[in-house]
Amino acid sequence: MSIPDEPNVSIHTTPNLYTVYILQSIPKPRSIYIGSSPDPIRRLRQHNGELKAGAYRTSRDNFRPWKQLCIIHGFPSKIAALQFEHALQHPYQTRHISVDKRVSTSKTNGISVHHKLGNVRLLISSTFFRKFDLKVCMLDPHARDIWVQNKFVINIENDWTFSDSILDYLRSYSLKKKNEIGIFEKTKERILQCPIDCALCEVPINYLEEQPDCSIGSKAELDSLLDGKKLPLIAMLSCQCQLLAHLTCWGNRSGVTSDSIIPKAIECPACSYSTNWIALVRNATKLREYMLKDIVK
Amino acid sequence: MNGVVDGEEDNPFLESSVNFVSTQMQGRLEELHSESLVQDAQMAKLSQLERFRSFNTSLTSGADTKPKLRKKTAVLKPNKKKSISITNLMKEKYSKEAHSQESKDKLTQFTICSFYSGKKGKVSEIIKRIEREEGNGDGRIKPSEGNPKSDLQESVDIELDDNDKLTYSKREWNLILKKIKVKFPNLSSKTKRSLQNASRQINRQMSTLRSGTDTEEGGMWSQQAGTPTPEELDIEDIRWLYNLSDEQVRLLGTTGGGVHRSSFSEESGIFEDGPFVTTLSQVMEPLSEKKLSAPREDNIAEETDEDHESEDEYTEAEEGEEEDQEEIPNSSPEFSPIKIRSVDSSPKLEVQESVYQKEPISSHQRESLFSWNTLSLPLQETQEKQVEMVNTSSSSPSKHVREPEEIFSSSVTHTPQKIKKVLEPLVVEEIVSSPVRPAEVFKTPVKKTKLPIISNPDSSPTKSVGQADIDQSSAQLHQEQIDSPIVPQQQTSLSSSSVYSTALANFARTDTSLAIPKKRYHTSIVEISGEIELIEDIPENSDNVKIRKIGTRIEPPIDSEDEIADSEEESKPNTSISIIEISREIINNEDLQKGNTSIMQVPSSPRNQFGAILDSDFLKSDEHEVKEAREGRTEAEAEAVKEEIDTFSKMTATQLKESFIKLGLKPVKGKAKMVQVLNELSQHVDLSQKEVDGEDFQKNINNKINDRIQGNGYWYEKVLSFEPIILSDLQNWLEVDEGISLDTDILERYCDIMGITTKVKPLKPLEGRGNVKRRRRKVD
Repeated sequence: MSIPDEPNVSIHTTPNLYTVYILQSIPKPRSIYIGSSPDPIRRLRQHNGELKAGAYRTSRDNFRPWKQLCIIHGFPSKIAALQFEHALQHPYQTRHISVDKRVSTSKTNGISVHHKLGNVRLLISSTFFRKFDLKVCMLDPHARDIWVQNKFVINIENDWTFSDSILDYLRSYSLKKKNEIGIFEKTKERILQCPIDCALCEVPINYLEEQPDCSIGSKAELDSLLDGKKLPLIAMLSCQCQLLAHLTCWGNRSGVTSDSIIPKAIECPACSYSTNWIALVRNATKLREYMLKDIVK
Repeated sequence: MNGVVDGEEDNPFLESSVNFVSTQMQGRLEELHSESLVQDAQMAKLSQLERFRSFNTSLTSGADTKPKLRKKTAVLKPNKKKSISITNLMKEKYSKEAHSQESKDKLTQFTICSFYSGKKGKVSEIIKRIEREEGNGDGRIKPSEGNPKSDLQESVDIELDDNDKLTYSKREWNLILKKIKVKFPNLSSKTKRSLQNASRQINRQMSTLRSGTDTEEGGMWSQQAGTPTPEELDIEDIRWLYNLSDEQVRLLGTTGGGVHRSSFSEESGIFEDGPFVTTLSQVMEPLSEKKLSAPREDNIAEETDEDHESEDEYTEAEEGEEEDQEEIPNSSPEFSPIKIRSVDSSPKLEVQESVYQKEPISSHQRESLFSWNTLSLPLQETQEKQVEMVNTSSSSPSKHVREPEEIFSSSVTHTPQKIKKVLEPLVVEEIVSSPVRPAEVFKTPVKKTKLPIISNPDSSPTKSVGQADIDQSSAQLHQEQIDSPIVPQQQTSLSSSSVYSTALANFARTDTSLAIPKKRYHTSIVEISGEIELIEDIPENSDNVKIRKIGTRIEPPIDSEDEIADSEEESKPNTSISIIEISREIINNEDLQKGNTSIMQVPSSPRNQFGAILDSDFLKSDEHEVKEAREGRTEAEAEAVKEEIDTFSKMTATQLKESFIKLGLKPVKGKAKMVQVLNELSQHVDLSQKEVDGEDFQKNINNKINDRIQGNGYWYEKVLSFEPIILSDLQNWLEVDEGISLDTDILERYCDIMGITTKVKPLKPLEGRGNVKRRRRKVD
C-alpha cells in the first residue's frame, strides 16, 4: 500500500495479513495489552524493547518481557482490524457486543484473561465481524486452555488453532497463500500483455491505455479515476481455468441477498472450483495498486 | 474474677461485670449481690431525702442548657460485660458462700458499685457540666465539702462519699430525675441517654430486689408478665426523659402504666446494652383493648359492619367469579372479632385496627422487640401516619394516597379508602355497557392513554408491622387505583360495596380490570376532494369505526408556477375539500402506526417531488399536502400517503418511540424528527403491514440499498473490495442520486449486517509542524 504524505490519497488494498494480538506481561500476569500489526513478530520485539518504537504502555521495565497469548487475523482491511482492536479494548461499550451478551460490563471489571478471550469470542461471532471469517491462533498453552475452557460459554463457528511458535504459524500460513501469489503474478502478466476480455461480460479490459498521464494528487481525482469504468478491479480465479473477469461481474454472478452483498466464494463456471472471495479481492486490489503506484503520490 | 471496668481503674476491688446469657444465672447472681446491700442503702438514704423537700423547684431561666459536647466519647456507656463460663460462675457463687458474710457483702457491694458508681460518677460529671453551663451554684448544703456544689451534685455525690456505698433507690433516682428535668428541661440526647441507662439499671436492681424479697411474685418471669407500673415518675417525666411523642405518651397512658421498665430486658441478654425495650404484644394488646374505650374508637369505621354486609352483597353480585370467592374466607375471619360501634368513617384507621387485631402475636414475635425509646421506625411511623390519617381523613382523604392522586376526582371521598375487594365484575359490566360518549372520544387527536399506575405494594404508605398490614394497605391502595379510572364514570355504584380482598387477589384483578375500561381511539383526519355527505347513522362495523365529517374547505385555485394542474383537476374547477375524521378503536396490541392506511410502493421519483416531504414545514400545512398530492400522483395514492403521514404526525411521541423500537431503530429525539424519519421510511418501505417488525423492516431496507449499490459500478466495487466507506458519502449518494434518504443509524446497521467497513471522513492535515496534534473532530 502506498503511504503518501497526504493521508487522503491512498489506494485501498486488502492486506495479506493484519493481526490483532493480545500480550501478557510475564512478570506481572495481570497486565494485558491489546494491539494490532501487520507483522506481529516484529511488533513483539518492539514491545519488548529489542527494537525501537515500542508502545508506551509496554515500555516499563517492570512489565517486560511480554508474551503473546493469541492473534486474530483475516481482516479484509486495516481499518476493520483497528475497529476490532478498539472493540476488544472497550468491550463494555462497543456496539458490536450487545448489552445482554456482555461479559465485561465496565472498565474495571471483566479484565481477566478469561474475559478477554470471551470478548474475542463475542466479537468474532458478532454481526459485523463474522462476515470476515476471522482466524484465531492461540500462542500460549495456558491461554489455550482458557480458550478451550470457554468459561462464558460463547460458541463460535470459526476455526481456531494453536501453535507454540508464531513464526511457524505464520510461515505455514504464508505457505498456504503461495498459490495466491502465483495467481497474482499471472494476472499481472495477462493484463499487461494485451487487452483482454472479461470472461463474463466480454468487455475488453485495457489497463495500460487507461492510465492517466498526470499524477493524481487528491482523493477526488482518484475517485474520478476509479469510477469503476476505467480501471476496474480484475480478478482471476485460482482454478486451472484461470478465468479473468471484473470483480463486479463476479459479484453479480453470485447474486445478492438481503443478508449479504459480498459473496463468500466464487465457483468456477467451468470447473466448479471454489475460490475464496477475499483471495480474489486481495489480488484485485493488489493489482490495481501495482498499476497506480507510480501515479499516486 | 477481678477485672477492671471502664473508667474504674482507681478501684482495684471492683469485680468485673458479669453478664450471662443464661438469665437464670444472671438473676441469681444479682440476687446474691443486691439483697442486703440495697436495703441498707435505702435506709441510709432516707434521711438524706429530707433535704430535698425544700428544694426550690422553680425553673431556672433558659440559657442554653445543653451541655457542651464532651470530648470523651464514653458518655454513659454501659459497662462492658465480660461473660464468664458457667463453671467459673458456680465456683464464684458457691465459693462466695463459703466466704464470710463480710466478704460476700463486699463483693456484692462492689458489684453494685460497678453498676452505679461508675455511672454515678459520670452522671455527676454531667451534672457538673450542666451546672457549669448554667453557671449556677445553688450553694452547697453539705458544709463539710469545701467545694461549692449544687444540690443535685450533692445528691449525686453523697453516695460516693459514703463508704463507697452506692446505689440509689428507685425513688431517689426518680427524684433526681425530676430535679434534673426541672432544672434542665432541655437536655442533650446524650445526657438523656445516660440518665435512661441509669434508670434502667436501677429498675433492674429494684426488680431483682423485689423478686428477692417477694417470693410470691415468683421472680423474673412473673415480673415481666405483669403490667408495668410507674415508679413515681409522672407521665410527663417519662415523656421528658424518653423523648416520647404525644402519641407514644398517649399509648403509655392507655396501657395504664408507665414505661415498661421491667427487667424483661434481661430475659434476652441482647438488650442489655440497648435502649429500653418492650414487647409489641405488651404494648399493643392492652392498647387494643383500651381502644375499645378510647375516644379514638369512634373513628373506627362501621366498615366492619358494612364489610359484612357487603360481603353478602358481593357474593350475590358475582357470578362465576371463582377466584374472588376464595378470597373471602381468607380475610373475613380476621375481621369478625372487631365489633365496634360508632360510625365516623375514617377508614384508614381500619388498617390500624387490622394491625393489632389481625396479627396475633405469636411467641416467636417476642423477639421482634421495638425500642420504646425511639419507638422504632415501623411501629412509630405506622402510628404516626395513622394518626395523621385520622386527623385529616375528613378533609382530604386523597392526600395520603400518593400515586393515584392525580387520577382522583374531587368527588371521590370515602370510597377509595375502604378496604374492598376489587369490584371488577360489577364495574366492568357497567363500563362495557355504557355508551361511549362521543365528546370524550373525539376530543383530542393526540391520544393519551391514561395508564393507571400500579404501585408496588412496598410503597404503601403505612409501614406494616405484620404481613397482614401490608396486605391490607396494598389492597387499599390498589383498590384506590382501580377505582380511579372508573370513578369518574360510575361512582355511585361503588360507594356501598366493599369487599374483602387479599393482595394476591388484587394483583390478579388489577390487570384484568384495568385493561377493560381503557379505550383508545386512533383518529385520523382525511381530506377528500369533493363534497361528501355522511349518512348519519353509520352502522358500526367490527372495528368500531366512527366517521364524522368535520367540515369543508374550498381549495384556492392553483396559480403557482411550479405546479402543473392535473388534467383531472380541470374538470372540477371549484373543488371543495371535505375533511373527515375517522376514529377507530384500538385494541390493545395493535400497532398504532399501521393504522388504517395502506401505502403503495411509490416508485422512485425525482427529488423535487419529495423535497417537500423532507421540509420540516411540510407537516404543518395541509395545503401543501394537497399540492403534493396533485403532482403526478393519483388521488388515491395521495390520500393514502397523506393518511399515513397524518397518522405519524398524530401519534404521540411515546407511540412513535415504540414504533421506532419495534422496527429495530434507535429512537431519535423530538417528535418532529421521528415523524419525519418515519415518513421518509414510509416512502420506500411498506410500513402498513401489521406484521412488520424490525427484521422485516431491516431486510426491506437492505434489499433496497443493495439494489442501488449493485446498480452503481463505483459503489459496487468499493463494497466488493472491502474498502472502508465513508458513511456520509454513502448517505449522500443514496439521497441525492437514488432518492433514498436514510438516517445514519439505519445505514450503519445496514453496513454492519453487510460487512461493509465504515469510517469517518479523514481530517485534513494541519499545516505547520509535523508534531501538531490533530484536532479532534466530531463524527459526521
